[in-house]
Amino acid sequence: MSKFILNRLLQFIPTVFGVVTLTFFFIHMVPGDPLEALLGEDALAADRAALAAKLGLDKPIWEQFTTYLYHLMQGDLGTSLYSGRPVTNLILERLPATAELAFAALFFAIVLSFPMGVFAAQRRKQWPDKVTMAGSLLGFSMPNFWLGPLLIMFFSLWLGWLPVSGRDDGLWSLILPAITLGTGMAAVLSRLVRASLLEVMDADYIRTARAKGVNKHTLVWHHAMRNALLPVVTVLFLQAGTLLTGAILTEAVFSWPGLGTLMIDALNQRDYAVVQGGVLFIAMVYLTMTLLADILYAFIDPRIKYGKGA
Amino acid sequence: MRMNPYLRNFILFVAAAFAVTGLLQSIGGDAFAVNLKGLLLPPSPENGWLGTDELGRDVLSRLMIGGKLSLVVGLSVVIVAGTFGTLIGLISGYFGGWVDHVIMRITDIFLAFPGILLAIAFAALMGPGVENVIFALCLMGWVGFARLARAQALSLSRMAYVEASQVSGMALGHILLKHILPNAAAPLIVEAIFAMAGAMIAEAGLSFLGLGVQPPNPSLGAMLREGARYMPVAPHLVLAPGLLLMALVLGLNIIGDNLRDKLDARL
Repeated sequence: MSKFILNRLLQFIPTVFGVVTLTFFFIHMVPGDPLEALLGEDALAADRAALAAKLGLDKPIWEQFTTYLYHLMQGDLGTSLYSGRPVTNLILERLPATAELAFAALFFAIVLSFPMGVFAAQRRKQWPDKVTMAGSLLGFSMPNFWLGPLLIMFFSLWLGWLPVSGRDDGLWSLILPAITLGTGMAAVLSRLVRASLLEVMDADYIRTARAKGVNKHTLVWHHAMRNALLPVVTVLFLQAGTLLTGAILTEAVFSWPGLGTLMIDALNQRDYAVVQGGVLFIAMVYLTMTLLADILYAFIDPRIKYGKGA
Repeated sequence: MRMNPYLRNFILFVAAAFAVTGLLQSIGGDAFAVNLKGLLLPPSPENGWLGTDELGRDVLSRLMIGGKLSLVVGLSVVIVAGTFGTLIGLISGYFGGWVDHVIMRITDIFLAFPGILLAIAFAALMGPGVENVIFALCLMGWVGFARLARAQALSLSRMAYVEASQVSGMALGHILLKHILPNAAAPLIVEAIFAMAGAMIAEAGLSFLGLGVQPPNPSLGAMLREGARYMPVAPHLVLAPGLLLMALVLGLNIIGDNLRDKLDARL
């Protein structure tokens, strides 16, 4: 087990380095001149040179890269070209709003998908199964930048129950964004819960329990669920990372003041430093989640053996 | 040559989608003519069936142009990313060893960017435009095909018939494309169908953020974004593009889902 975790951690390092390198060169590959974007087309050559020196853009690219790595080690993601503030601070300021939205969406997805998946699995191939699975396919096909406006139209404009956008009304303003972001995830999870439960229900130990006369409720929730949840938990972790990206569009719909709107504003202002920092940050969170999911999976399911002698 | 039954439904659906959008576009009015006397008209037969937008342009024909664009982007991404990813994956799985190791570490790096994050960053940096959107979506799309093709090639390359063709001195390209690929095709086709649906949603998402097709050219995502501003007075501007996008994506997902059920007999 510890050998497996060590192995996995060692694999993590080159991936992280790859992600950092890709993000760095990505930004430097692009057409368009950041100096021109900042200073305008008819800036004086002297001003351009001064700014280039200040941002380190006059140095050779490998030197910029090593400097970037050096700063990164210290948690320094650079300085916003637009506001002049440290990118790390900008991200940390916006993180609570995005985390709040992501957790609320996760909560909504779990509460909706688990009963749906169990319900469908218990009535396999009957109409409740077909209806829930059709619903899940619908949720999966629904773009969240359309679901959001639909919910706003119905609950905010027609019924007037919930705020249209922003984050000023506490829990009330969280409801619609959380549903918008969580629906796609609920669709994926409900299918997974169903499939996983169906597989477990075929197992010998379930047949034994059934033969012993264990009642259906205990059988499903107590005996089968424990094992059926293993793959679900892993996917939960992976999906939690994906929520951060989904949040970019959802935040755009609801003007939610999180990481997503920070990145969109930065994109519009051509503030490459913030874009670079934001992309790197989200990728790192996602990578960490993937790593945790892998380790957790090996931990909670001792049957899993990765590779030789792990 | 008989058509792969997995491909048939997919091709029929895409062809039908193109035909219907083309037909409806011909019924609609001028998609670009601004008419300031008829702004935000509600849907009705007199108002070109789906009404007009904030500049008085015909919504039906704009919608259909956007729908076709969405299909074109989805298809292009699947063809480009699918071909590239499949080739890389076949090579990776067939050769194994360090080739496989290096390629898989590269896919790991791309997989570290969740969802459309990479596409958003790339489309934003390259500037708006359909080609850039397609390129950005291919950049994140090839990995899925590569992983899948690799897994297939890995197991198929140890089969006796592949070893027989190696021993008989067949060219590498011939073995990969004529012997391994046909037996690996079914899951790759399912992946392609889901990938097309995903690419269409992603394209609309990028356009929604203002990173895709630029005005006055219509795209479903941009229509949604513009329409959201007039939601209280003209809800059809939000309802129509979303409904069309969802119908197209749902159609693809249903086809993909049925095929996957056939492949995976357990469920």
